[in-house]
Amino acid sequence: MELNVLRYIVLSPLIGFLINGIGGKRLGHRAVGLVANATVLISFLIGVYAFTVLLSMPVNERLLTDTVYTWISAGALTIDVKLMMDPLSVVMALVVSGVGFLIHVYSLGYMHEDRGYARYFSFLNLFMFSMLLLVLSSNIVLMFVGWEGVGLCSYLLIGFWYEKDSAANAGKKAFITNRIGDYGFLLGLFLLASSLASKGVLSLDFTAMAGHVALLSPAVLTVIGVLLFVGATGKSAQLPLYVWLPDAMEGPTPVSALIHAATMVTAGVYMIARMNFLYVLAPTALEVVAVVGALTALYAATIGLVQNDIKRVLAYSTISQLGYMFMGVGVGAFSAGIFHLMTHAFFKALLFLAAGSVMHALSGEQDMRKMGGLRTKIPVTYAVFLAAALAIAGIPGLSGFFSKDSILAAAYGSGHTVVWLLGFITALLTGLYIFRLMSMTFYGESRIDEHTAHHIHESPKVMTVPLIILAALSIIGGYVGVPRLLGNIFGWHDSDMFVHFLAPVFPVVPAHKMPVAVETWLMIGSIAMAVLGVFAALYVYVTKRMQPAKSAAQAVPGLYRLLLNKYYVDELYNAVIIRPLMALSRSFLWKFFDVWIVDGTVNGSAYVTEWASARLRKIQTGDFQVYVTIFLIGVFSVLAYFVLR
Amino acid sequence: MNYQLLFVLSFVLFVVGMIGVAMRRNVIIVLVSLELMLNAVNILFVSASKYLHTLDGQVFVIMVITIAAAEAAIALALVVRLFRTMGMVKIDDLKRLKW
Amino acid sequence: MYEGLTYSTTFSSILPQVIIAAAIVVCAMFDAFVASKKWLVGIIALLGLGAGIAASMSLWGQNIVEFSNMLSTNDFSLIVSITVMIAGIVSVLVSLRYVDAIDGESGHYYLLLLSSVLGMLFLVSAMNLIVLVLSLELMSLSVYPLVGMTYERQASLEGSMKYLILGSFATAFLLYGIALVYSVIGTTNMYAIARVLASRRDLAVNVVMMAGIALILVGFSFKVALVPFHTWTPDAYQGAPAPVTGFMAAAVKAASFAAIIKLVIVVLSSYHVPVSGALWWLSAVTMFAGNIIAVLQKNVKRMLAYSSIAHAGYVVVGLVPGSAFGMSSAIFYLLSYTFTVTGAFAVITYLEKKDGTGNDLSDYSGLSRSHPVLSLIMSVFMLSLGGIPPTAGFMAKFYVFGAAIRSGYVGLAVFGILTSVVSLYYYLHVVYAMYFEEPEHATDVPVAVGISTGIVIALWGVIQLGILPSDIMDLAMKSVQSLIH
Repeated sequence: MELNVLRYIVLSPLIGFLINGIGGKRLGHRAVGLVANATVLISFLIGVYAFTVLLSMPVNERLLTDTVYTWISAGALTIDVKLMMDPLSVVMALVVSGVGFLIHVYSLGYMHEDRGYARYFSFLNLFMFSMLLLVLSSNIVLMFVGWEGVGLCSYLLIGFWYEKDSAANAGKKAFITNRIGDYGFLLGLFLLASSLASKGVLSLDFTAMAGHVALLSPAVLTVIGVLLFVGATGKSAQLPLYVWLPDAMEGPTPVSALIHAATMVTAGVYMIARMNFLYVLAPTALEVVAVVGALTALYAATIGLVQNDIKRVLAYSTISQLGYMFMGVGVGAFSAGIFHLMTHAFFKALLFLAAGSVMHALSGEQDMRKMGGLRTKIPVTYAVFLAAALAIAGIPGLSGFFSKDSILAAAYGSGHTVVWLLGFITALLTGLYIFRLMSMTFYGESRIDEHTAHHIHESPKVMTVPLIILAALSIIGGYVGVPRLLGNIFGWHDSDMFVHFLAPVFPVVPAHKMPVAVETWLMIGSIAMAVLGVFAALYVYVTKRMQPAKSAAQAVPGLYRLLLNKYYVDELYNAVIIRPLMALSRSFLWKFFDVWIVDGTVNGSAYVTEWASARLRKIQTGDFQVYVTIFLIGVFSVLAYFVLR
Repeated sequence: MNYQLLFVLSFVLFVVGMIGVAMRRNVIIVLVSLELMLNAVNILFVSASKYLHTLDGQVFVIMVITIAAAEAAIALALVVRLFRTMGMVKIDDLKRLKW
Repeated sequence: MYEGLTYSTTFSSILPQVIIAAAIVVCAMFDAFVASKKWLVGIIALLGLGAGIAASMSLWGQNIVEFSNMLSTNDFSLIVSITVMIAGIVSVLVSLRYVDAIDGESGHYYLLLLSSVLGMLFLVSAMNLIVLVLSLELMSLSVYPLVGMTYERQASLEGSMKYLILGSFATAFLLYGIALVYSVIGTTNMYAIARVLASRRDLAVNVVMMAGIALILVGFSFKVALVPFHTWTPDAYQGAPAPVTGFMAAAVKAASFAAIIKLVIVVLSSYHVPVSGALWWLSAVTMFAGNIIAVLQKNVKRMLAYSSIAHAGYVVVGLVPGSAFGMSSAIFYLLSYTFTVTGAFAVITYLEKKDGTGNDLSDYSGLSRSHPVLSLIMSVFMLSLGGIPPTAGFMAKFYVFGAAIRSGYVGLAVFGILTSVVSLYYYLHVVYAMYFEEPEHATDVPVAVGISTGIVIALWGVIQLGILPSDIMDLAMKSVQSLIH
């Protein structure tokens, strides 16, 4: 069905960008903030309207389109500027504009005193435009435009505080790393277009392609799938192109929340879900996605364990969680991956914003070793942070649990035992690192210096209200997709509404029938892992630092007793698992692999380029006779080519 | 008439001019070498025209002479300017722009 | 053959050329007899170019061969004519303030620019090698003095001198190549040469013929600055006044490429000549060397000179397949590059000082602080050069690489894409300097209406071609079709 308001979802933030970008400082703080927020809110509201329209339609006809104009016509190939909204893109659009709006509101308070206020909001609006274009475009070329747009905004916003060298460099690194991925994407796109054209299919619309990709040979599909995934590894920070994301934390915290946690970095997952029709025909490519996702999840989580910068822990956590999403789509459970994408958007945005609130309170301090004991000083921030931490750790009843569990169940059920195992171990580490962060920040005694301690204050309402809304979403957001197993226990038979809603978009995967007992044990297992991680962290980082033990008992009395009773187990756990793991991740994974191999590759390519440039430019000596000689060499080469052949 | 010889003459003149441009330092000599190359072209055109009995080549020669004259006019104007501002006509002194 | 010479020949098919020639005469008179208000000469030039564009548009869709088969007016010649005249308009607009600074000489400037445009218009419609060479020389000989216009600067003179001598050197090779081809075939008419080539298969192994074609290719490779015939480019571009550099990068390149495209389609397509293979190598080497050397440049004009070398390589990617789609994509690329590069040089003109300084990357540091709009526009041009959507540069690369892949030249396309990743490195350097560095000194540029108008035209083109490329691509396709018939 044609619904012409879709274009305004995309255009509204663009108008905001133009107003703020051209008006700039002259408009004044109030007007800039109002324009930026209102335009995003309009997008969200239209999105909600479109969602209701979509819901009112029969399940299998849920597709809204909006053709704006014909963009490219090259011979018989035409590409339209056309937007579409199906269950998948409506979920994305609502998450992007909804979470985006909350983050815009939060930014009003967070960026209040920044002199680049107008610049900040204009970039943020440009980002919203690009991201909404990405998720709503109906063909892969238009999607690529949004894809590049979000990359550009990410670059501009990471380097927002360009006075800091590190920020500007981080921006550049992000852009270059992303471009490497993008060109994988572009090659995949070209190959897809040309091989489809050779079969007489002259459309790059998702719906048209879905009907025709089966014409291509599996080998071609696999190559296309892997190339597109290379693009996804860049944008969504997976091995080996993730390096830019931790550095990207140099940007303002709301930017980290919006772009580098909730929305842009999930574009890769969305792209693979959107191209599901291609990936199901290329199982090898899908396998690559699953394995890379699982490895990244584990890898990033181990690094997250030893970071001391609060935002860096969250950055590695984001990489790890994105790994989960790829694991989900990689094992064919597209809706589980998207489900995790959604819940992750809620709780990770919240984690970042709450971390921003902590930094706000501590005059910009990011080192967790200089925090501690903040629980009572900034209670609202603490409460929402706890909700998000429990959600990401996968504690039952919160959103993260449902989505993570459905991914793990799908991985196991589809026979990807190794992938499942990696995800299973990561579940433990997730609890561990996030509660290590909680402990170092909120529990224990304060390590804050006198001067800063004096200024600690809770953030203003404009910042805490979005936090509270996101906290509510982090808690209840998962109930749209309660696994059927749990639903059945409570007599709620349509509990996995989310899967049903997305079902028309995704291929019917042959259901992996798992015995109820196995599924139950899997669930109990992952709960156990999560809980174990949380408590281990609390033990190591709260209890052991507390001298005397009484004060620790006062701080978290129930916890303390529980840990005390399991003394030997925990001690063993500490010695056998955590210590070696930390040593490994500190000495090898982080120091060696991350710094040398991965950073080395990125920096190395820049170095080689500059080296070659420095050599080659010497040819241009400025001496006329050298020029003539080069010219003559060219003449003789061309002559030889034509005459000798 | 031995056309072969004329073709060889044209080729030799062209190569001599080419070497002159490549080796000589004085701008004036370089320009003279360029004229030599263009005249090698003229010889080739004229002899080919006679050999093939078509007139296009002869017309072309008139045009090449025109081009050569225009080129020389502009080049000499530049040389004069160069001499006034830098006081030299050596081409290897022009090395400010490089890399 | 003689019917063409009767008096029934009308001049309507070369109306654009007539208009530009008339404008040259008026400009010359004005320059000679009116001592003050030299900027009026610029206005006359603008009017002439505008009328030329209108005349070209009125001829659209016609296919006229006249003047003893020497000139052919068709969609192809018209689309390139319009492109170079747009480049001319932007260059004149951008020059208005700049040229006033060159005391007493300003009238000549517009004269030379117009006569160069006249050369280009004849170049694109030439169907006889005599006219081709004459118009090529008219174009080049007008540009050499333009490069040396600011002769009180040594760099300007040096660039001009090197360009002139190397240019004449290349012309000698081109002429020798034509003479060789003539000595085998006996005609200089391009259609006639094509007919002979198609009918005589033995010419494929004729050494003289092949050497002739090779030398013609060398001559044109020099004009569009393909590696290793590029050595003049950085020096001439850096030495020339910024508006002239923009004009050279856009118009001279577009017209010379049009000549190559015409030669390849009309003369060489009917026959198995290894042109495609030679272009493959030239393109790969050009993309590689141009982009790599640009990386470490500190002078923005010199950096854009190397960038323009690299872009010539991208255009050649579209020529390699020899398909109609490839040729159209090359024309699209030229159009998009024209807008982008004239715009970029307009911004550079804004910042260039009278003594030719103000072009270093450090002069762009923190520009976003003092000139936010100018920086934003410059960023758009840089992103377009780097090939980032939704700009014209992206669509252009999309088309040429698409054409290469479609015809099976996947290796070349992949290589081109890789080099364009490298290119981002230095385009972003400019953006980086403008947004992420502290200004070293206050940059204060007075607003100039002419330059701003030029920038607006260029910016419009970049966005128009990026967002609505299909109409222009259709025109490019039509123009290539008109040449094939």
